[in-house]
Amino acid sequence: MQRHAGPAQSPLARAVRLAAYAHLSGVASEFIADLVERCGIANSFPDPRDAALPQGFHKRLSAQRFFKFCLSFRGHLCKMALFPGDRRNRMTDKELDQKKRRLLVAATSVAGGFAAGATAVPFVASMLPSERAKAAGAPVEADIGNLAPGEMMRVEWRGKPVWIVRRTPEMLATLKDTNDKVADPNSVRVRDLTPDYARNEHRSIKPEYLVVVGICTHLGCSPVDKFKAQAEAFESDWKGGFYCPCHGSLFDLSGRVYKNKPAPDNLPVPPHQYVSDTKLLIGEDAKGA
Amino acid sequence: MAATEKRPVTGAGPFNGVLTWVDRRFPLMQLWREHLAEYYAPKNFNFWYYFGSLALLVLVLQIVTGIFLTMHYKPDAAQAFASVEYIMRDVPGGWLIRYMHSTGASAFFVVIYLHMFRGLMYGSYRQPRELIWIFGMLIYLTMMAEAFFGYLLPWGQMSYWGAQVIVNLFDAIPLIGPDLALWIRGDYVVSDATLNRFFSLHVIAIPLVLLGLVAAHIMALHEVGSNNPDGVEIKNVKDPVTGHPVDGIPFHPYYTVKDTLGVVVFLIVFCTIMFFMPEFGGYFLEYNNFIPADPLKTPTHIAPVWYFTPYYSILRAITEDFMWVLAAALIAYAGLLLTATRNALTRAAIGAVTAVLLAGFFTIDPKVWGVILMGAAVMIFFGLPWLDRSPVKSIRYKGALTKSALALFVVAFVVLGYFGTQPVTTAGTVLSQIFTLVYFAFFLLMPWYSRMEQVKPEPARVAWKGAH
Repeated sequence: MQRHAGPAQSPLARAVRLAAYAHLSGVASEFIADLVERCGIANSFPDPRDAALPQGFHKRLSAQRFFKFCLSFRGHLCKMALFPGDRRNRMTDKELDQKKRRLLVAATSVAGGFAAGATAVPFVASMLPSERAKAAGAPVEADIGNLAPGEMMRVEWRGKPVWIVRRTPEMLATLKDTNDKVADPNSVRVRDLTPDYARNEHRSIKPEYLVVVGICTHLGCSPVDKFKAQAEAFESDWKGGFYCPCHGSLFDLSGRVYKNKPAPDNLPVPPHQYVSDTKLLIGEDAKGA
Repeated sequence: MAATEKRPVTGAGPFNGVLTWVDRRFPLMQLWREHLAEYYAPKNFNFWYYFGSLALLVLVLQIVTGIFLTMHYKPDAAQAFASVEYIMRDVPGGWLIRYMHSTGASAFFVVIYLHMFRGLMYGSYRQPRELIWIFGMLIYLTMMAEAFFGYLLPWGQMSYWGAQVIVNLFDAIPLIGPDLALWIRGDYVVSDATLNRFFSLHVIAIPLVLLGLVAAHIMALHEVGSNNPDGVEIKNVKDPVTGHPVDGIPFHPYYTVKDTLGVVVFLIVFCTIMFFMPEFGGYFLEYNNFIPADPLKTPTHIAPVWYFTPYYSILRAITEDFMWVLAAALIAYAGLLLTATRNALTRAAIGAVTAVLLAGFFTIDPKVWGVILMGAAVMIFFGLPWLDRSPVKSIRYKGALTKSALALFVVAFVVLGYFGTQPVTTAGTVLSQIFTLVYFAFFLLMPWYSRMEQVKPEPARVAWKGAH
């Protein structure tokens, strides 16, 4: 959720592509096997077992032709003394048959496995976000003209709550006190979560306005605003901020996460820009990035 | 077997003819004999042996009620919540079917937890029943998936945020996590796409897997035969004439009748809850789930349904400070393992794994470790057949160490379960952390305490108060 990249760059999409390539390479190797057969290269390595096989055995399927090529290639290697004494020649017909069968079974299993894997691709891919879901991620506009100091408003962007808090000078002053309490005061741990223009103590373009995605970086709950500085059950020296009811993570008034809490990171700042003094565009940077 | 070799079916009165006709074409009598009339079960089954057949009953109940709920439910984010209300208010008898299904879900877990506890007590997972145990654990995992997918369907606040939290667990997996979570949701947040696929998984995919696993569980059981409270093999002493175990009695009619009694008692309890307290104080149906899902607002207190809460507590117990305790525990355990092995290669492997884990503890987020430990807490059950090194199977003949360990484990499970339903407090977190350690110690120290204690000698035959 922190990344804005679509699934085009995702490992899943990569896996889909790889599987497609694997399928293509299977087709290509069959083609090569055919080619080898046609050029008669395979026949240049006479196979002593041919006599034991029924007529036209190798001609039935191109895959079988490919195996024959593999076999004769191995025979050739034997001749090159990689297998001293060419054990093949000492085998009985039955052993040869067994070996050939094993090879055929293994090769068919591998090819079948690839086919099964390739067949799974469309099913797995069908569960990725649809084009409609991807298109729903357009930027949204928020009118902050009526937002009173010390208050917060919520807008929905990509189905997620975005909070806009208009902080009072007192609220901004608490950020000095929480510097020591938060885990990542300068928002440098995961750079994607905070755009460069918000990588400061107040984590915003204008100090007064905080714009964050209201989803806890732990497991995705939406924290609750507890702006009043007072002793709370979860923190005796509470300076005001956000409390996540699910697992007790605390965030200060800049959305910075407290130390030793389940949430690892500060609340993400979405890409945003001011269209005018009272209009905010969420989902798009000024650079248009 | 050729049809002509089979004897005609007898004893079914007017149905002899039709049953013979079927039996010549289908192994009807063979199935009947192998699984009921001539399946010899130990004669000393006690109270704890009701829960296997009760689990089967609840499974059937869930499938039947589920089929009828599907006739009225709409798997659409805009209509789901209202369609459940429609079932409750407008569909004739809909409220009853829905309460049967929701109470059935909790009843399923009650029955399964008691069934598992029976296995823990009497060593039902021990050789030669490892596969029964593994199939059983797979059923448990599948049930958890089924319950989780089903819980999203009413599209209430708890449904929504529960799914959000659990799907985000996958987000914590390094590298592939965010893409995996995106793939599971089918959207950037839990949405209509998520609801629709969870519906599909809940009503067809997972139930099919569940049925297959139940069949495998029972087939494996009937292959090796049932364990019993004494943990002795009844197949060791057979009648020289009939070849049947002396301490065994045919499952039908003896245990079919006994289990019917169990069913009656179970249904009394079940119906009482279903009719008079279907919400069960917010534990079976959570109050927040009567509010429609709101993606912009998390309820002030969210907790999974009771049967997941022990694991949820373990997840919440893993904080940054606790990593130091975990590291200390890991080092101690590695030391224990090192004393137990002489093989240099094994020792090196233990050292390497410990070093990697220690490095991971302080470089990877505690959140990831919370997820890992939560998963490990479930998966560790699979190891039981190999962790228990006691010379005896049943708790009746084991020593004080195993008895206390099992008691402590039950306490840990219940305490963790309780804190999982409560909001986070400092005391709750500390207690959860302590009992997380107890939970894992029960399994990880089992190879030692099960071997070092004094056990009582197992009898040759089952101890039974009746005739010998």
